Amino acid sequence: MKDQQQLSASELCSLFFIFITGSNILSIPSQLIGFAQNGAWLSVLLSLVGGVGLLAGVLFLYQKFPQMNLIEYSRQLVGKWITMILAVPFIFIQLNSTSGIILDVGVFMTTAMMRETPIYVFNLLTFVVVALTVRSGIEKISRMFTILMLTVILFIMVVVILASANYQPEYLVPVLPDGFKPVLLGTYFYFGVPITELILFAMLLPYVRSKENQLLKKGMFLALFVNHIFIAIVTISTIMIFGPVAGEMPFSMFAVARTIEIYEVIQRVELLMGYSLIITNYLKGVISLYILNITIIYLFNIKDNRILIFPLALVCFLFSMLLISLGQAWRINYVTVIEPLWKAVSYVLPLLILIVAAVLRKNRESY
Amino acid sequence: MIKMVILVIIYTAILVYDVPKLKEWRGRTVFVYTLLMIIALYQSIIFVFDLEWPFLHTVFEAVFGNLANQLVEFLEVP
Repeated sequence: MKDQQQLSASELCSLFFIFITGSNILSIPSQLIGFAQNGAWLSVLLSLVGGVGLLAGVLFLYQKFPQMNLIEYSRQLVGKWITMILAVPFIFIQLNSTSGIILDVGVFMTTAMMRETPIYVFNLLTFVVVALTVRSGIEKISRMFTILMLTVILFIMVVVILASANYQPEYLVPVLPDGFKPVLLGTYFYFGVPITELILFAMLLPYVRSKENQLLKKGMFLALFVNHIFIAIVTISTIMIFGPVAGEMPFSMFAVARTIEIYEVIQRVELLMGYSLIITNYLKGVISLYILNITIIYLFNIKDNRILIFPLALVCFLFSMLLISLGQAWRINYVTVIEPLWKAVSYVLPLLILIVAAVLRKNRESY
Repeated sequence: MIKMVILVIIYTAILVYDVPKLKEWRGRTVFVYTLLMIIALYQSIIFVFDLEWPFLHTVFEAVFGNLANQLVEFLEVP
């Protein structure tokens, strides 16, 4: 079970950035604007405060147990049975997230590109590629993903710059037309859905070479800041193009790219966003399935860390089909209303329990 | 029908690939693997026959749905 794979601090920080930015940069802004209206970028900044707190908590535990992942030090701190209880919702929400991430590829393809093809074709093919990538190991994943993510960031920046010809800055005001409540609602959604997921990286930290711990901490905080800056830029860009109706567009950056038409030479750049959406969901799906796999492997002390990858991918694929069978409207409500609370309970609560247990243990030892 | 054919192909491919390896392992590994395949089988039945049987999303909607809706309603501006 003990994995011999190792990552440098920069490789892990790169994976961390890819995971928290990933598909969110393209799918989150419209939902966020739907909740927080013009104050969406304020919700992003507020979430940063919570994100910094969570990351500090994860790194605090990593400092105490540098050679262990979350499941291993949870066993040391609270015992085997409480770990098992905490791990159940932790695994269930990971199953849900992995299914949802890849489902977005299918939804995008069947709504924007190939409407007649059944969604399971896209979901299944994506899950096959995701499972095969996970089997290749974390070292290969980290080396391959950085280049792919750089192309995505480049394309998004190109779209943001080219779209600037259509920007209408007056759409940005008033920032708080209905007071501060919508901003808090946006924060509930943005902090709850993508930001709480950073706790999952507690499963990957032991892969980093121990000499690079200081670099790792700085790098992860930097990645978190850059992620929020990118999300804020994309959100503001979307508001400046579509104004109040931006919240009603399911793939807002794709719609932003559609507005670009410069001298009939530069047009149809939404293809870049289509590529970016598929790639980012794939990248995030791979990291998500990888973490889900090692969570179960470490929880049950299984020796072969690849044996569960295909069954897990199958369970996630079928779960994605169950989620979409209830309709996209139901799913949007599920993701934006129920998931933030569910993730807070499944990710944040165990982290808080472990931090308290670690502090109490430290105090006991010092007496 | 096509869904069933696709699933039969997937299950066959996975089992052909994994079963020889599973023979090397015993106990917990086989238990967790079997558990995952049973969950997949349950989901497959729902998927193929378009049933409305409960799964994780139903459970969590029942557990967190009310509180989450109340939270969102409190923060929403009428």
